[in-house]
Amino acid sequence: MNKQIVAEISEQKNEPQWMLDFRLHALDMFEKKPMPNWGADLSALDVDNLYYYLKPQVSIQRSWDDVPENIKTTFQKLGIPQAEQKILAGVGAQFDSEIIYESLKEQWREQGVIFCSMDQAVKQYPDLVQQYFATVVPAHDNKFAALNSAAWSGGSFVYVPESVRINMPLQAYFRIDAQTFGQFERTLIIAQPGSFVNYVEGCSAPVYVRSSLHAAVVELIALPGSHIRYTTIQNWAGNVYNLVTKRALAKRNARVEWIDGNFGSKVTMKYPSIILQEEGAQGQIISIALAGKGQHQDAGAKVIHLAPRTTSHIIAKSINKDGGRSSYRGLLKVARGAHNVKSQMRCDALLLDEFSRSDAYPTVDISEQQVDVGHEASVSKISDEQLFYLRSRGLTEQQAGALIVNGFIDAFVSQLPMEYAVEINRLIAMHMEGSIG
Amino acid sequence: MQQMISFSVDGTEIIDMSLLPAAKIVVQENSRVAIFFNQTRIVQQSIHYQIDLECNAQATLVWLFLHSAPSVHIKINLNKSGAKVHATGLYVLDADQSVNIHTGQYHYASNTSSDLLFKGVLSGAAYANYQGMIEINHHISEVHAVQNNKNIMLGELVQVVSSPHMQVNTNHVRCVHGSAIGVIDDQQLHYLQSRGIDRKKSIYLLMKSFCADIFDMLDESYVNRSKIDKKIVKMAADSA
Repeated sequence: MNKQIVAEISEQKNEPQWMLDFRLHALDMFEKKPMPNWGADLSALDVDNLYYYLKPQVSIQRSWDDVPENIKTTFQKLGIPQAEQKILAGVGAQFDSEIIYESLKEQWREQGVIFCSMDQAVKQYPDLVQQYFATVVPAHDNKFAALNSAAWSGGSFVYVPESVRINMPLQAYFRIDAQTFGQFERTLIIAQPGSFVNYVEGCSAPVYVRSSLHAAVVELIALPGSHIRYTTIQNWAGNVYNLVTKRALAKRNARVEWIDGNFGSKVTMKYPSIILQEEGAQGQIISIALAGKGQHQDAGAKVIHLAPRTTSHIIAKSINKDGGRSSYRGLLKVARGAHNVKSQMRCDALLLDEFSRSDAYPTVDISEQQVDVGHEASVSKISDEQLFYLRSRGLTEQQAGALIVNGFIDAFVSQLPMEYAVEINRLIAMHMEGSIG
Repeated sequence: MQQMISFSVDGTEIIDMSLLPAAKIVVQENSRVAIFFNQTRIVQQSIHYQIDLECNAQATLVWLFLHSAPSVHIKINLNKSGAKVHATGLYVLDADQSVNIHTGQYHYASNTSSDLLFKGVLSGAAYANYQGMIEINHHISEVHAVQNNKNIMLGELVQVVSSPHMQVNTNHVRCVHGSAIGVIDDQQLHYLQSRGIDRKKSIYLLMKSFCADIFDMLDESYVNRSKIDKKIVKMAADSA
């Protein structure tokens, strides 16, 4: 990873000068910034050897036979169609059912919605991109945001014009030029006043990739009165370090929602943030983390109230089993002058065996008097009373356990589009096999 | 850090620690101890306590802060089965007073229970920083741990930072923590005023009820409650 490689990436993409300058500046930042000395253990991650992963992914063509057996089995259990399975495993190059979405895309085009890859956006809508790009997450934000800024490729660009409401969830799948699972994705969503968009990325099936680092940056800009809902379901393979910077800016009366599910990867460090910048803005973060064997899910939420009458609501759930570890790391900040703020934060952890671990590191920092802020957290196992009750109604211990777990994560699942909810329930059931009872 | 005086308690004792800002106390098997700390002046040096509880030992701890305390560290080790601790603290701060409080509840054995509550009333430009930690060791069971920090803010320039942390390494536990920061409830204030109680007095009553669970722990013979009361009356009058 050096200037030459960054320049090459930029040249290959035929980017304007300002983007090249931005990348080079970010590279400089990346080299200067130290590795984070807090949070998950990143010692096994070799940042000096990253150049390997920057080679264009298309050149690594793999066949279906290369895909590990356990991943194939999981696809079967989740009931994912063959075509989709190939994409997810990185074998197929194109999503076959693309045509189905053509009519939808036509509809969006008529409304003036822009939905394309970030690379394409830089070429086709340079003014828009230049205006908003890296305004929420600057290159110097953190080491991995800097790395992403220097080497980004792929990701989505969404622009929703004033008062346009997209009722159908926008999915990263839909993009015809889909470089679906980039390593350094860069996503930017701009919702003009009064608009609404629900963006969905990821999937419940395990994503099989060869690279071991995924460092994405997601920026949301919710202009006055708009509403952005961003749903992520992440199920990376067990060798992946998932270090993602996600941040949203909410203007007057805007609403931003992060719905965030973390199931896979070896280490996740992801703290979706919302900056409530103007009066009346609302934020909601609902997240779930499932930590199994050898996994550390260091997830959390950050909300910064900068204006009066802003509200936020955070729900974080985690399930830990087979020695997995999940941490909730959160910040809730109310700046001076942001009066009449209301914020509720709740995080619950379920430990399914005695080897697993759950941590909570919330910080509440309040500099304004007229606020109502609460934080609550609990850690426990599945209660014996609940199990006993269900078993007395004729359920087996396994069924009862699964039912209780489903109830535990309901706050998350009920927010998902239907087809995802079904898959998540199956995924949870699969993870729970043999771990209760 | 200053010299830590260490001693152990065997039997039942009530200890007033107000003049001893750093100490290591071992509560022996089957012993019971009540420990008070009533801050009488501004403490410049750090306050440092370590309390070790042995088998079936029980401790009740109460801390009161009416002045600034730049560094307070309270470490509670529940070393053996049956250890139980009930810890409460109250800080009442006005003007530019500030406290930095760190608490730790470390569970090293099964069948242990800890219940910690720190409350704060702040006015003027007071500052409170609460950092709590619950740690539950591997391979132990039947642990109950509670940690709460609640604050009422009466001044526009008040700042509160509250970080109740926990690390749980096993599953046979019930572990809860929380923090709340708010103002005096308008509806409650309105209710009292509608019953003919003036605003100043209403605020005083609500603040006093907020502190009630800590006041209940205070034995009049050890802690002069009227001093706290006076400060609350003054703070209520200033903010009314």
